[in-house]
Amino acid sequence: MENIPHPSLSRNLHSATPSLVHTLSQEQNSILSVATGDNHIYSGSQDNIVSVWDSRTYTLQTQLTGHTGSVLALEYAQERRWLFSASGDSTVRVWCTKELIPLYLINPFLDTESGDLFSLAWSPTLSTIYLGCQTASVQWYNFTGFLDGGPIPSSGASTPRPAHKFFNSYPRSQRRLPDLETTNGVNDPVLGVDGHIVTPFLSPCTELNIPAQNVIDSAHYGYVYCMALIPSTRQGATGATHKGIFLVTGSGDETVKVWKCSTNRLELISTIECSHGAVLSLVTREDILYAGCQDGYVRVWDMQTNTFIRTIIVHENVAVLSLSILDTDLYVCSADGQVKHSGIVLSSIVVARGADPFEFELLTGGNDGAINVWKVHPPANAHTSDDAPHEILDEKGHNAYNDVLIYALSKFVSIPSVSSSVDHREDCRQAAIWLTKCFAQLGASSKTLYTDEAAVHNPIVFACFQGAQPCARKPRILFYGHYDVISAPSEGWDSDPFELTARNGYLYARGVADDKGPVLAFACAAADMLRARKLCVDLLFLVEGEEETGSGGFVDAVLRHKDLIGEVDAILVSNSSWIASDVPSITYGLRGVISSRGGKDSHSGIDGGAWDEPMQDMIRVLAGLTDHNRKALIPGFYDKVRPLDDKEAELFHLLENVTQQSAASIKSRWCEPSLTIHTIRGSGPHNPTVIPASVTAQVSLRIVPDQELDDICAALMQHLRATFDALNSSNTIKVTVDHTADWWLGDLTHPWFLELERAISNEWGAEPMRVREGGVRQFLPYSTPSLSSPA
Amino acid sequence: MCRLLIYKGTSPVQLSHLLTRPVHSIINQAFDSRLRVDLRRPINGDGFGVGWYDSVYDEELGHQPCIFTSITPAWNNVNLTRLAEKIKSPLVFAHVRATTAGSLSLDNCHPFVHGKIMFMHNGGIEQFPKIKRRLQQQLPDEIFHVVNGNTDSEWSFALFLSKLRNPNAQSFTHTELQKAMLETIASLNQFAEEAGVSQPSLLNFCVTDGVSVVATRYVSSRNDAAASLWFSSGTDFQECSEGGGGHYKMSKADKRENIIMIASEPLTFEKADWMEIKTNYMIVVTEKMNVLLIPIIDKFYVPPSDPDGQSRDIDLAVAKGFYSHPK
Repeated sequence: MENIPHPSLSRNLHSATPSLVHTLSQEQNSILSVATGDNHIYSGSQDNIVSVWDSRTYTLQTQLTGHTGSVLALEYAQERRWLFSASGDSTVRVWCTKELIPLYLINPFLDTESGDLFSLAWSPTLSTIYLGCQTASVQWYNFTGFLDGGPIPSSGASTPRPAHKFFNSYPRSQRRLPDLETTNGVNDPVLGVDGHIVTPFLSPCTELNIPAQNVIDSAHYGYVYCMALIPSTRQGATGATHKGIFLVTGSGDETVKVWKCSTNRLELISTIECSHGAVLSLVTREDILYAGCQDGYVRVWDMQTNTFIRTIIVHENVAVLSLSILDTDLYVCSADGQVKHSGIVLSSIVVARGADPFEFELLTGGNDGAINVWKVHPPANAHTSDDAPHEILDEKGHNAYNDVLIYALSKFVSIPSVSSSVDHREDCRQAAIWLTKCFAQLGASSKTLYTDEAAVHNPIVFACFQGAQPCARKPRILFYGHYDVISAPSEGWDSDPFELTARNGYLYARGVADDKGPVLAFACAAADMLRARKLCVDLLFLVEGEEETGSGGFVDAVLRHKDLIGEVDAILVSNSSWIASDVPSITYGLRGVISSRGGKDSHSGIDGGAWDEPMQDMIRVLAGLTDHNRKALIPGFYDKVRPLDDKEAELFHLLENVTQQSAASIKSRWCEPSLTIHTIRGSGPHNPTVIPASVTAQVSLRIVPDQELDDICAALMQHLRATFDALNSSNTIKVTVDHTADWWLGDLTHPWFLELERAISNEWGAEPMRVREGGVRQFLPYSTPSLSSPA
Repeated sequence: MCRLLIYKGTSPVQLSHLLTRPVHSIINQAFDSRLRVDLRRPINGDGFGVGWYDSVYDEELGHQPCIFTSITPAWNNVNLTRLAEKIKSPLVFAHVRATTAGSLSLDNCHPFVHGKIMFMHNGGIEQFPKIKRRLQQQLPDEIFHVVNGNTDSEWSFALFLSKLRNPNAQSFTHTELQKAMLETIASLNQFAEEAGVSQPSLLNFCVTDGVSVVATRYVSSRNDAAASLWFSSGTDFQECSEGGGGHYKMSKADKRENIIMIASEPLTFEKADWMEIKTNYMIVVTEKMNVLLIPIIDKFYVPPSDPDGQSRDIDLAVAKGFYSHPK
């Protein structure tokens, strides 16, 4: 037994280590900048694109294109709902974050002669965006007078770009003056996240040019890599006691400079020698300035007393590429991928998460193409200022974060409870024990039920959340799930199948969807309701461990423990699929199955032609099962099939639109019986010179309401025998029924069903689809009679 | 008169990516220079030189660079093409020459070397014979004998060496090289003034000790533009066109730089990849791969965003053959 996680779900929430919540991934792409705002996470990458992610679901919403160089810095202006992006193409673009469209294009003074634009800072008070340039200049553009939707002041009008003396030149042999028609460079296509070609956004946006007086030449001698404002405008940092607004710039010349900002003016206040290599990152909090240096040091400077107060050695000679601050905690992102990236961490930002003032996220972007989302907390006892901007990320007002769920799930999926393999028997048992303890911690009374004395089968976990109303008889609802999973060969997985990985809005690990995730989701929801005193039913859980291999021993075990389980008013199963990933669905019908095996024996296979060959007999018998239209020829097979009523026909028509499949195809998969021949296998070496001495075939029938399981079984046996007898063969036939499961159809008018539909539509804002499935679940048809309740 | 190129990277580059393959490689510049029109001779065909440091230090080989020069035109030298395919180096100087001063001889080909120090020049010292003896008087014997050729460029190199505390030192700092460079320019200005030379000199000097690089784009004038000088930095310089069209692109996958190139003319036509160094600025590549752009503040300095700085005249550079485009 290796690495079974400790069952405890308690953590030291103020520990120094942030926990990884999610990963947004862009393959083979450096994430050079991150920003947040307007319920979005923005990431600027090496491939000239600003990606916009939904900060609640972590899914990619759109990509903003237009830059022709790496996106090196991003800055969000909350009060205007603008996003600024600075790029290696020597432009700044301004985007509307409401509509996600381009608004303005800012050209630095003298067009591209400012080089890469490394850093940005937005002062809401001065309505000014500051730019740090490769040419060591600091420039700014003042947006005072720009009203939402209002006219653009004429001073920023654009002029047509002249032909460049070099880049638009012709080979000397042509003796032509440069013009804009030249094609010297390459126009290589821009590739998006998924590798498709993104057409650059060509919608014209207003060009704004920075005038000469808004430039400080040689503000530094090196590239202006980073800048920050005092008072800080970042989340997680609090204001300063200084009067006025200050811009702090850090550069490759190993200095930090402090500038006093006023409208259209920057005045140098002080120059701070950091002398530990280029200053690559800056963050401010109150009057304290933190400068991350190339040599792996963070220099801490007190602005009030103008002194270095300390030097933090993070990791010698590993550049500090990004800094983020949360109260008194400083998050340092180093070039060795500290805070767990597989590459270099290039950018980071702290953002408030939800209405809870103690929940923050640290977002980090790296050259491994990942934006990691870390859960961080302000230091214990630290007071947070009331004016800190807390975005209400969850409009529904409840804790959608599901932190416990994700944490628990990460532990649960790490147990490889593969029921089909003997090697994992102990893992399955451990998973059951872990789950039992987990239920107990969530507030349920729980028990591990052994299926039989000999413990041949994996145990079942039973749990009961007691509803709040003590006197009246509460409804008792049973949730069915399973904790076993199918095996997970590592091929085809981008990450360890037994390690929970959150990527681009989805969680990945074996069992996340089937069925560990749903089990824990229901359990955590029950725990939440229990805590809120809103649980007014008894919620029972039956979680088995052999669903994937046919639910061996389950029915017996349920019957054995019938007293413990008690009466059940309704059964919930979350082990079925949705019709489409964005359409909630309720499964109300399943087909049944009869799986049968037929075998034949002959004498020996050495004399081809002299005997009735078993394979030929078998093929004739199997051929007799269906006609040319693939209809089963078993007498009475279709007699009891329930005709499709008008309501279902209407529903299937609706589904046609959702699934893009014909109603007839849906109907035949869900509501019509079918017959399948799975294998025909001859004995012997499977060599073309040898006649098999015996042949086995596997046949299964899917049955639907109102076919009787036993009648169909009997009819199948009889039909096979009759066909065989008609062959007058010297061989013998043996037919066995290995495995059966009855069909199941829910009652669509039952109050429980309607209540479930109502609950789902409230949560998702969409009516759930009523669906049936062509597959089979062992549990339902059996347990309904054994517990006598509607599922 | 000439074209030059400097490469410094955190990892070695195959010389062909600089010298022969890019669409506007220094060899193509030799016959298709777009930023210079020498009215007397249209091409840089008077030989070339390339100097490089070893990727891995070898005690037996020592720290000094290797230099390969030739007086045949660069595009006709099959040995250069062969060597460029087989040599990798983290720091390369390359130079194609169109003689204005000095004879056509191997001794006059840049880059020049002394110990660990490598030097090259693009430009010309106005009326050099008038200040030659004055310059030579400044030099200690040891450095006087370093000079093998007869060009203003090589004598400027000797002057530079004389400004170093110890030209044979094992290591230098970028600040020491910077300081020596500024003193060299100041001395040349002083000699010219003393000799009554009023025409400006074009002083694009490049120097390296194998670790740091210092290069200038300088003219001793407030009204003229200096000979062109560009730079590019990023994380990767790779050919992006299939079939070897020579279209290279600089990518930026990190804040920090892995590659820095300085050249008289951009090697590619990717506008966003190249930046012109401003007139009377010094570009420094430090030991830690940081690029510094330092104004050379003397009586010829005009801030670039000053309206006067905008109107520097390129006539001088054009007339001398260091600039091509008409106004």
